[in-house]
Amino acid sequence: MISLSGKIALVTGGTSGLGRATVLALAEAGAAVVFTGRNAKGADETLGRLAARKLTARFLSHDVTLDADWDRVMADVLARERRLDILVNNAGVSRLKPMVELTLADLRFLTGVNVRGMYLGIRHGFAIMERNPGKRGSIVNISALNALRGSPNSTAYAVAKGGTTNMARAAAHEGRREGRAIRVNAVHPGVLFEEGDKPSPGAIALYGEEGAKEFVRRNIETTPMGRLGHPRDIGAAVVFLGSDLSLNVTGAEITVDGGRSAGEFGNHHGVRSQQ
Amino acid sequence: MNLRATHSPLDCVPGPGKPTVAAGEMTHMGRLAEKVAVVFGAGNAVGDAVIELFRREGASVEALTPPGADEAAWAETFARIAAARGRIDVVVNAAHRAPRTPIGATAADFMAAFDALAETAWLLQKHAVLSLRKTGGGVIVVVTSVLARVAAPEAAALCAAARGVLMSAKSAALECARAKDNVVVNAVLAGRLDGDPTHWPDGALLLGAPAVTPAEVAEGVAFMATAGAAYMTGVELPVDGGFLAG
Repeated sequence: MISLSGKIALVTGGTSGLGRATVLALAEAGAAVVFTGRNAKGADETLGRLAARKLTARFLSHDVTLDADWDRVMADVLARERRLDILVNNAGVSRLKPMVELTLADLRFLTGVNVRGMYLGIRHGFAIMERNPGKRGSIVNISALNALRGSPNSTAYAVAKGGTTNMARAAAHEGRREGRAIRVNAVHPGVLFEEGDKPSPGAIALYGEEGAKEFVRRNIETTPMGRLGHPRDIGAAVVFLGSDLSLNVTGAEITVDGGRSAGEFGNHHGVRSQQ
Repeated sequence: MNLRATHSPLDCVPGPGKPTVAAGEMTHMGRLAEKVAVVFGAGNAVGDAVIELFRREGASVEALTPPGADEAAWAETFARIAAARGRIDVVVNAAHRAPRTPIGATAADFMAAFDALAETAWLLQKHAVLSLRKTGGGVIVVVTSVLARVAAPEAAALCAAARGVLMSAKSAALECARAKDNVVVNAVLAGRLDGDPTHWPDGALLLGAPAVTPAEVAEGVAFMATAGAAYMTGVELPVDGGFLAG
């Protein structure tokens, strides 16, 4: 097992799903974890799951789109933990709709969190990590397959997540400037399911009850590993990227999708496909 | 001999929104004869090169600058042109501009740079699709940068927006294909463009990359607008002198 003993980690959006699983994975690996979010009830759930494993973490209220909130959170981490080694820009939002139904307000909602929020994270992350010995640190942006492949109903989401990914790769260049040794990587989850193969509310809204079941079935069928992803799969990748095992990994686009993007993602939608 | 001015057999293939013209009538026509093209990016080096080439190839070109981050203004722009011209065959987004944004730039500066590229591209794409669907289809070409694929320092907003714009074009392409609306959406990835006052990635950002000219990028755009490219959708065409190959 990878050890993050002695490292300090900050996870945004640690109050649900993927962020929660990442908090658990980092804490299990021995990191001291601070997680943030806007949902106090979700934070309690995360703390409860940690306690059940005799683990602990610290929660801070945080809207990632607000510069002043980042100032407060980083000042708090400096005061209590004294430094930051790992930043996980996880807080993200999605909104899948046909392009003719999407509005500029939808686009701004998506880019506000996925682009502005993650840019602020990188900027504040650089500032705090520059105080570390050797100016070392690791930043992980959680993106989506939409940054790698096209997919219907996601023209606005693709703008946002394409931004999430390539911002990380641009930041990787600057992470090696001015004496810094800050690595920046992007992780691309596939379709994630926390509870068995139950379709998500988003999938049901988009495809209907039966359509969502078909969506899940087709996802499993077209995924080489033969199962959907679980949030803990992403947590494991983040642990690796935060650890000293990945010291030569930066600017990478890591997929954690059961092999789905190797072939079938976005399939059945081409010009000659039969609907 | 100017090959561009000669008839190409590709133009005999009817494509989305492209009227079939008898071969004999085409002898003196350019590759984009009888096409109505709307080009956003007048005043940009690449935009102006596209406008010039399209006109030389026989297209009837509306040369515009983007109307801004306002849905109604985009809808009105397309409605006005479609009403005046009867149809639109090709829409080109060559309005790409990008100031440098090192990590450490304020969030306001970063988002202003990102939004100028990404919001413009997304609004243009949406309203172009809506407009083209009304008259039987057509071609949308977005000019973005090789920085959609390879990142560079001091360009986080440009890199983020370029990938976002590219992936959004692919998503739109798939959505249109599924709707069988005869709208295709493709992207041209411009390589290193030196001496452009609109701050395309230049030699300082893309160290060692071969330089390309706006006219060469325009050739890629023109190809995407011909009937010969009718079965290409969601494609990214680098015009970069081989830079992305290795």
